[in-house]
Amino acid sequence: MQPIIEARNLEKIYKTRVERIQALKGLNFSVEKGDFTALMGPSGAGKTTLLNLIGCLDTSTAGELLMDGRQLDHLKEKELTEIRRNFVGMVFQEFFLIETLSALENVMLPALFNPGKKIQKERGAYLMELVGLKNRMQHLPRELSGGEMQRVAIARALMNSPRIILADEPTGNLDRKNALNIFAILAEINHTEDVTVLVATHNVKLAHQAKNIMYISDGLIIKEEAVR
Amino acid sequence: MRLLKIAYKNIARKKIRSLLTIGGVAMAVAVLVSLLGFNAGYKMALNNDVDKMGYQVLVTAKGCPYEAATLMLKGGGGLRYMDADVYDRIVTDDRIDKITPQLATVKTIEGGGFTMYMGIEDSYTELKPWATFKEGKWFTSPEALEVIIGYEAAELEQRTIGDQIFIPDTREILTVVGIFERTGTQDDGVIFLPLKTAQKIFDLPDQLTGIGIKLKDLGQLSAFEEDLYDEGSIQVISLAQVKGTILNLISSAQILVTSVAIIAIFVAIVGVINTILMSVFERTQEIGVMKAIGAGNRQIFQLIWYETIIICTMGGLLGSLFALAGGSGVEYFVKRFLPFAPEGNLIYISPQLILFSLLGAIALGLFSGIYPALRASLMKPIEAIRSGE
Repeated sequence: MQPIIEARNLEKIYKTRVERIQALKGLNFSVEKGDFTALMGPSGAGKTTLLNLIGCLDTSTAGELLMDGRQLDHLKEKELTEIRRNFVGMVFQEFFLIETLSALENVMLPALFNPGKKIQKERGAYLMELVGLKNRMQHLPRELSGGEMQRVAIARALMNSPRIILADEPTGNLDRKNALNIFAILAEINHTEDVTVLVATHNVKLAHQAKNIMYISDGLIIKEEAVR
Repeated sequence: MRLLKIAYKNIARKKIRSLLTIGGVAMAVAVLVSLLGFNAGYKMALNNDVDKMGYQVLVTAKGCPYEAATLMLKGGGGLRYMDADVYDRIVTDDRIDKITPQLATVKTIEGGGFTMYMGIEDSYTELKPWATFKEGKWFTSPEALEVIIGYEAAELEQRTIGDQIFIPDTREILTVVGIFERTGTQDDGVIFLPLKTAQKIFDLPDQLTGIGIKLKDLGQLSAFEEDLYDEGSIQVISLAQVKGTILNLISSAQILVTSVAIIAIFVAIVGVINTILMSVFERTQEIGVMKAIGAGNRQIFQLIWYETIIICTMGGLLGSLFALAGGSGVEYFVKRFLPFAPEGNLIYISPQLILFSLLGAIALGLFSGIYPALRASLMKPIEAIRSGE
């Protein structure tokens, strides 16, 4: 079966005025459809850089990155937007909800940016229910707790029915209980929504909630492990 | 939910800043609407004034100021007189439909200002059929010591029928026999008396200041004027000239107000660009996230553009309301700069003008929004998201 994500000698170099930082040093890995993979590693290992490349927010310096067999390198901005819109759902550590919009409106936002899709309030409401926030739909972000905001962000990432959810340290700003809850939700949507999940974390216990763990250090995949 | 709603909510996020920017646009639009309203209103009022002179051609002595505005500029002096023979020679011309001789004299009033006295004949009312009586009647005889007073002059001096009025620098006391209805022209401020009486009491025998003429066929105007030039001691003024002269007189006031309007619009454009650009910079991370969840360049451009359009449209609406509400105040202000102000409203704000101003405000929004919208739409998502770190 064709992997949903495949990296071949993937490299990313950041150049500043004073230095040249090689964040990824020739990664080779693949993620199968339906996987729930945790990306583990210390700060500065390259987790965020890798997720940004897969999420089409940034482009690689060398190597190949394929999504569902389609090469992402050298795509034009319009094509990258198309992938961000239809194939990928992003979840960030800082939630990044639009403060002027209600929770439900935040969830529905990706559909507004997707001209090919009708904005379905029902789907927004369903996703809010899926993340356990049925009674919080009309609340503004400032009226929600951190855990609730992250659950809204997960619902938002699912709005356009993406093939893959990329979560970058989604529990970094949450307490233990909320962190476990978020991972439980990610596991559930991996199962019920048939979506591949790739989540970056440095919490070993949380990483073991996933099906697989990829260990990344100093820009290289150093180990892959099947958890269950 | 639509982009427009998000744009509106973004504007509402910073209420004070948005209100100040809207206020700036509103002021610019109000000045513009008032100015254009003044242009339209002034021309209408002037046309009305000139048309209600009742004649197409005015014959005066050479060098004589032919218009009340010029008299005002000269402090009521400078009138020149021609022989009544001129009237006798012209009156026989077949091309003339109606003709009336006039003798105008100006007397200064204690404490400033002046009153215009006009000697007229029965033919005056043929040229000015709208000059009807509010009270009283026409002179009892061509040499009667009687006056008919214009509406405003009567109001100002609190005159009624039967009152006796003393004319300065003369020894005559005249009786008020009539008061004209308001005509909305300069005639409202004039005191009329029989031509022969005027010639006698002002000691100007067989003298005239003007002859008003209406032709049977307006197409003959040029030829008629040409023929009158043969009369060496007179000048012929067509109403087109009168209008042109007055419009030239007010052009300096118009230039002043136009300059203010242009500066106001320029300041408004800079204000809008500044506000939206600041808002874009503050929301850089948010814009990055929007791109990360699927927003394209065009949609981000649209979103920011909508914000400027909303601000400018609201400013346009508010400015139009300001102009409508403050029209009389602006009129009072503008009148102080005018060498000649016709009767009636000087500012005419039509529905078309309001529509034009709104479209102008929207165009201002479209123009002002281009740069901030481009800046936002061309942001790279990863750089925008990282900007908050």
